[in-house]
Amino acid sequence: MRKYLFIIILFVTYIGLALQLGRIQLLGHKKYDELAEAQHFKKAEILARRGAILDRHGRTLAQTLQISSIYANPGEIEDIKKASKTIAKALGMEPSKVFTLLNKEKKFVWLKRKVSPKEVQAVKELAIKGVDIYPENTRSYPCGSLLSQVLGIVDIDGRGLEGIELAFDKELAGAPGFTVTSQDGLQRPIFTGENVLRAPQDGSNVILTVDLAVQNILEEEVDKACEQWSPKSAMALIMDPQTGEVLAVTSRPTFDPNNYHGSSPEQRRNRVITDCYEPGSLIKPLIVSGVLKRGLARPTDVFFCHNGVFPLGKRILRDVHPYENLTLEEILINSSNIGMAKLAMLEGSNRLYSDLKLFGLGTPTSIETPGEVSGVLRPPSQWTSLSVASVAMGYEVMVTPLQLTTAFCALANGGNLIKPRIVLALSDGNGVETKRFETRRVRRVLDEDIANQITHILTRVVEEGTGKKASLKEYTVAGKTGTAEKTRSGVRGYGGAGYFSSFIGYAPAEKPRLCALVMMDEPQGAHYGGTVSAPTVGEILRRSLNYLETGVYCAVN
Amino acid sequence: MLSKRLIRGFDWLVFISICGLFTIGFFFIWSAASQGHAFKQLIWMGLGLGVFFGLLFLNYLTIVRHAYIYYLLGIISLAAVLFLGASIRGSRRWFDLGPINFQPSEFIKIILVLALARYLMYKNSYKKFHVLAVSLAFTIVPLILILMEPDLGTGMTLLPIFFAMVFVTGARIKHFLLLIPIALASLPLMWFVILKGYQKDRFLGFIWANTDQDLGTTYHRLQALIAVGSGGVLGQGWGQGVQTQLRGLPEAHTDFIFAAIAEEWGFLRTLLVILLFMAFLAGTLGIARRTRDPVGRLILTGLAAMFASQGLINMSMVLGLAPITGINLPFVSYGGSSLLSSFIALSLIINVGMRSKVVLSKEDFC
Repeated sequence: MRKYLFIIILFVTYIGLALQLGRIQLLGHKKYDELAEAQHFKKAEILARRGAILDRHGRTLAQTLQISSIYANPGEIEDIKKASKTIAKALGMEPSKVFTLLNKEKKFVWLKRKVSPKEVQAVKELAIKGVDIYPENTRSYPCGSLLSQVLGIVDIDGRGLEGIELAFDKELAGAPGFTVTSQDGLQRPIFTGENVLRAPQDGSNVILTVDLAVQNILEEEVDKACEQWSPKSAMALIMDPQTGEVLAVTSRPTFDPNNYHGSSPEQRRNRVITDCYEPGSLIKPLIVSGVLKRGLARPTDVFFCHNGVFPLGKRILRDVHPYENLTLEEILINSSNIGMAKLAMLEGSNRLYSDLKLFGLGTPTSIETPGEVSGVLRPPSQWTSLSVASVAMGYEVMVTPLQLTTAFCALANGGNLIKPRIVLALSDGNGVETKRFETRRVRRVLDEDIANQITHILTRVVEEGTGKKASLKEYTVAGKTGTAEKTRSGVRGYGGAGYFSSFIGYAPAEKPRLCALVMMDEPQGAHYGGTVSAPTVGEILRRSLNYLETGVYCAVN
Repeated sequence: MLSKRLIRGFDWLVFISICGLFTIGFFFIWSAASQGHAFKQLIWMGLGLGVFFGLLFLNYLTIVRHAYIYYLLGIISLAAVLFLGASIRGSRRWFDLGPINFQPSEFIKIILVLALARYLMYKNSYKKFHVLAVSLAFTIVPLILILMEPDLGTGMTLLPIFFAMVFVTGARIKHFLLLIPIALASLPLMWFVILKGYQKDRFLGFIWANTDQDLGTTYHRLQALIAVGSGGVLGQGWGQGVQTQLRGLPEAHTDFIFAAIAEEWGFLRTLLVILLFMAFLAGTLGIARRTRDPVGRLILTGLAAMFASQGLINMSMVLGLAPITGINLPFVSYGGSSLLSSFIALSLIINVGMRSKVVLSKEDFC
């Protein structure tokens, strides 16, 4: 009996061993395999080179440079005193400071970070044992503050934080490579010859639709205007109305991305998409196009404009200059608020709303740069009895400068709403294009003849109306002024808080190539869009078109 | 010369299963240590086989007759090794005899089996408590000496030998129960006097595995589990085990050879090791069944318990079921003394088997 018990105990324990073996090898296999891998293989990353950001002609706007830093291993330096003197001379440093650095019991000290090629050469010539050159990456923006809000910034490790740097971070960053070193149980590397190595894949270059020359023109003209009118902020934008490509864009205040640490979010904000404003009179052509489209009125139809004073409910609408009768064309040419209110009332709230919606108001344009807001276009159910008249004058509606320019591009190109874009293509390290982004038509907004009628009226705005200061000898400009009164927080209604002065224009009117917007927030000395912004738009269009036609860029004189 | 009758009693199941274990051991010593180690082990194997066959000529009864003398010599050498032994990694277990190290504790296990068999041989009163007590004393003396070396693993295999032998011969259960208070009383003695700090650490490390504080002491345990676990179903291939080859696994060719086998051979083939052990034990117990000599049965029981417990403790340790103790896998692990003593024990098993048919023959009286 006991004999059998003994035998049973023996066999049961051995079967138990077999079961435990199975439990570990079959059920625990994955877990232990991972543990084994973790302790035997050490991964080391090789950073990929971040791609450049280029303008449409391949000119560099942002690039990653290899820069050298000088370090020392003090333990290897024989004569520290002598070495600190010569090094100090080569690097333009104080000998005593170099001496303190070298007189440390460390194996690695930085002597000078990010030095010039000249200094590198000087250190090389010294050939001091224990002093060496360490390559580092640095992001550089050769054009300084030019286009800075669009380009954005990167952090110390080269990861995109804002702008294109952020939006295209994945493409720019590329894929890091790595080495795998196996190590033994004592964590010593083993060179078995099969160290897996994946070469780093350099990041793509991002080619923008921006033309550096046009951008330059825009920046110069905006700078001039800002100097003259000292606005709180300014935004300007140039688009190709046929393709939706942004050729130039800027906002003020601005910053230098090479040294962004002192800059504020105010300076870094790409206001053209992150901020929205009441467009004021700039909205009027969009509304008039709806009236014409629906056949509610003809351009020559005459409207009574109440001699500049038109009571509407509790409010009284006023025109800057009193008019008795104006044709539809003249309402736009003279930017009559009363006339516009009457046209808008012909449409009614629902049609007004759907027309503006059709132009893309209240909807983000989905441009590539991050931070875009949708603006505000409330549905008619939330409108008051005065809203139709307010909307007709460009109030109770908020648009981003980009939305507004996109809508005007539809007027300029014969009625197509084109998705605005700022990225033209991606290319690899050898400059070979790997991806091209195509023009995308969002929808047709107007028939071509209606769009052409509006364009015709807008040329008259520039020739004989509020936008005379944008007119050019060389080109026919179509444009519209906007002067929006700002609301002030805590104060009901408009007035007393300054103005928003803007002008949008496109040229040549026969076949528009460029559409330019300039907006200034609280300009000093004058406030009419036709006075403040129109001349700037005119000059931007003249110089840009000149450049596009001749290929010659003329610097401001 | 061995008569045909004796040769017919040669138990091939036992012998072949041991040859299988040795062969596996040979190749994994090769893989985990080096070809040189493997061939050194082969030389020991030759020596062991010589002793094995030589001892077969002696009747085991003749051997048992002198068991007390072996026991005395064994105890003396155990005591001597504490003073004269070579100190290797903090413990004195070996005599340094020039080219080889001699480890007396490997042999005391067999001697204990023989001495207990000798003591219990013709007792007709197994059921007396004093028989149990004396048997225990036989066990305790070498146990304490071995623990003082210190060598917890080898020491622990003495107890199963004792229990198996007195249990199978028919000691009363209540007498066993009487031993429990004695064992409990000796625990503080064990803990505070005999066990060394690192042994306590290992023990605690085993009890509280997977907590942070014992990372150091459970390192070996984890490494063995990683080796076994990463073997999977089919293993990583002979000579390809990452843990075995890259020193992740400690003592891969000695105490942890089972982990090396598991990593490189995988579950299906590693089962073979366990099955060979079971076959060997089955063969041994088969001989015990058919022998009519109570002394032979006692010897087989003791040796079966010795091998079974040693294999069990070693494999449990590798599989995370027991604390890490310095104990090798008989016939498989690298080590001369151990292999030699194993072959002596194997010889005794086969010896009993060969002489199981007829208890009384002419040669039994010479």
